[in-house]
Amino acid sequence: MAPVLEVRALRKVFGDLTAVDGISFTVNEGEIYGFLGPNGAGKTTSISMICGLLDPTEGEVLVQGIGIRENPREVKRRLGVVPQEVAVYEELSARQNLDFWGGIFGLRGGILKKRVAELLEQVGLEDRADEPVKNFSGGMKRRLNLAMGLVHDPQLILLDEPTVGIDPQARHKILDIVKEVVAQGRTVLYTTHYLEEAEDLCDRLAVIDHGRILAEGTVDGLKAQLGEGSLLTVQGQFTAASLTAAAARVEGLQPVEIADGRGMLMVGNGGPGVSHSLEGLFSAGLTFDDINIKEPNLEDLFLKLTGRELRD
Amino acid sequence: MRRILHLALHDSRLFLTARENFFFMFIMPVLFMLFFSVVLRGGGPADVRISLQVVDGDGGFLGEAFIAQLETGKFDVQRLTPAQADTTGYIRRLVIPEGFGADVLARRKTELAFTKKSDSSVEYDAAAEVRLRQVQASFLGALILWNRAAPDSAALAAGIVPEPDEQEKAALLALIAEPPTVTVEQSFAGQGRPVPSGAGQSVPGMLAMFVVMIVAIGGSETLTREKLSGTLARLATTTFSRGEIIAGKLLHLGMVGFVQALVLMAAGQAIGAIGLFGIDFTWGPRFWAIILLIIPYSFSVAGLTLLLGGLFRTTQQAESLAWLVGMVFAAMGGCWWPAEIMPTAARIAGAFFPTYWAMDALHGVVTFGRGLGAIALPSVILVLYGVIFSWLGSRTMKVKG
Ligand SMILES: Nc1ncnc2c1ncn2[C@@H]1O[C@H](COP(=O)(O)OP(=O)(O)OP(=O)(O)O)[C@@H](O)[C@H]1O
Ligand SMILES: [Mg+2]
Repeated sequence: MAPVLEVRALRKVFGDLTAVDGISFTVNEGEIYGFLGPNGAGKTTSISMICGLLDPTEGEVLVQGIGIRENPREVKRRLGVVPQEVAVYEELSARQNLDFWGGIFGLRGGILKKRVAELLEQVGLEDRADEPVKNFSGGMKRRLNLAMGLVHDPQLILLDEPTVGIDPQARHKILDIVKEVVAQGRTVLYTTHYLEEAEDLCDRLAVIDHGRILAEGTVDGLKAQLGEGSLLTVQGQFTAASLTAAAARVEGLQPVEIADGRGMLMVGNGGPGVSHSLEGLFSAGLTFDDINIKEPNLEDLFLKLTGRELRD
Repeated sequence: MRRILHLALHDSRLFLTARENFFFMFIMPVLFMLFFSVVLRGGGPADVRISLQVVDGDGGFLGEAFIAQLETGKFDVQRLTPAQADTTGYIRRLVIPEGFGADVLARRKTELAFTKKSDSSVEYDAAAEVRLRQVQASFLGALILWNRAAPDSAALAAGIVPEPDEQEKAALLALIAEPPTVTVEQSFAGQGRPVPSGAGQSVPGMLAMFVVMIVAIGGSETLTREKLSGTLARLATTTFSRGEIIAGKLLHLGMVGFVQALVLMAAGQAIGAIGLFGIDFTWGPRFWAIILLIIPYSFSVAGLTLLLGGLFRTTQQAESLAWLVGMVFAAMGGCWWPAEIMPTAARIAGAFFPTYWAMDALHGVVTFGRGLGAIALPSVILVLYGVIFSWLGSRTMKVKG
């Protein structure tokens, strides 16, 4: 069976800026595939090309084996798009918004009514369903924004940072809805710059920056790219060169990311252990103001891959 | 088609949920129509006193008597002394020369000077001239009936012209106050076109104006808001093609214009039928031609609005610039005053506005009682405008991200 989404060598150039630089990936049925990347990484540009809002400079998008360029209507019928910026009719009520949007996808009469009621309940807006949306809180608007992408029960749902700028409670509600939808057999492409979300939600994910996929895989698989073991982070008065030299003399200690005054090193499992590694560094004459030992996470991977923090 | 209708009806609902649009569509235009019909009531020059400035260089009794004659002859006289005349502007002016009274009494030749400004109304000028001749004839008639003896030649030679006494003065004024025995009715003949006036101008004018105002302001504002809110782009992620979305917008805007025109047609007819404030108006027996006409007219205005919506970047622009555009279209198209009284250059420029053609057709039906013949050419031109504006609009309107 064809994957639900297949993206091949997708590129988008705006003037002299390459926003998306030849990305390829596939998303299989029932999967939540994450797009993890900082601001300006090219997440929205990619989503826009997948849903036909932007024409790619190069590359191909196939949804259930159908090319968007060849048959946009068939592809769009299968897509539910939830844009990053809330795009709803503020003057209308939540119910009117959903009624209209359902109508757009050909739902009519009793079927539409039932579907809208179901969705309002699912996103927890049934109590305020008939109030104008302009009176809603940010979190409520986000939930309606999500519901509008789900009204026609699409095969593939494209979610572009659906939890930006809302409180943790509202965020959990949205993540729960996404999990529910996937449990019903739908497929999701989920962009975010929140690491915890990506770790919590995604079956597989791509780390992207500057329009490129830097790493791809399951959360565990990606963490494994840092190696098995503990992550040792040190800060102090030292140069990058001196730390690199000292680390090279300790067996089983892998530099991850080293700069003047700051270093991140991986202490491999089955090696000499953390205390032995620290001894080795001390004996090289280095002193530290701060030492931190923890399990590696995606943040660390991102730092390793880009030399930058994920959040600005 | 059903899909496009779904979009159009949705847009129309959005349009009407903005309460001010409801007010502007159903209440404002009717009030305006009433107001202008009352202000411009009274029809053409045949019924009204024509304003005339009279510079009284004589200052004596006969000058006064002549002015009384002008007033009897349906002039609205503004009387000035020669000193005032130098500093006062005018449209039409008659100068009574110095020594007018003495010359008349002495049966000497005397000349009145009539001048008019080039921007005065052709039709009123023509009426004024006809009336002046009539006043002149009546005045001479009154003098003959007055039958005052000419001063004797000895007195004349000495330059003495005796003033009439009180009794004689009263006799002449009584003669002047009598209605003229012979009158000349003046009108433009045959193919010559009278200028629509009163309600015949203001009711069609308000119709043409409010269709463009309501659709352009309300419509371009909704379009701009949709662009900014991202709902338009979101629509483009659905199965709707760009063409369908644009067609939906046009249909919606056209429907708003059409309904607005129908509302104003009904209002105009109702005001005329009740005779509110003495307004006399009817769309006439060929009103169906107007219903046909407002379809292409609404289309041209819908296209214009799509173009405006494509150009505007903020809703503030939509509110202020669309209003301005509407005003210019109304003024240039002859919605406020008949195009016939506009300077030639403005009239030629006016022909580049759809409003002009709508007004042309409306006058054809309302004032001249014509039917299909009045609306055929304007309708074709309006459709053409609709196509051009819609094409430009669809090129400008950024539906996608
Ligand atoms: N229409 C456009 N014209 C020119 N440049 C654009 C356009 N859209 C996006 N870009 C640029 O492309 C790059 C990628 O932008 P994009 O919106 O895809 O990033 P993103 O990953 O979605 O970021 P964010 O997390 O801030 O939403 C940015 O540098 C952006 O400025
Ligand atoms: Mg984005």
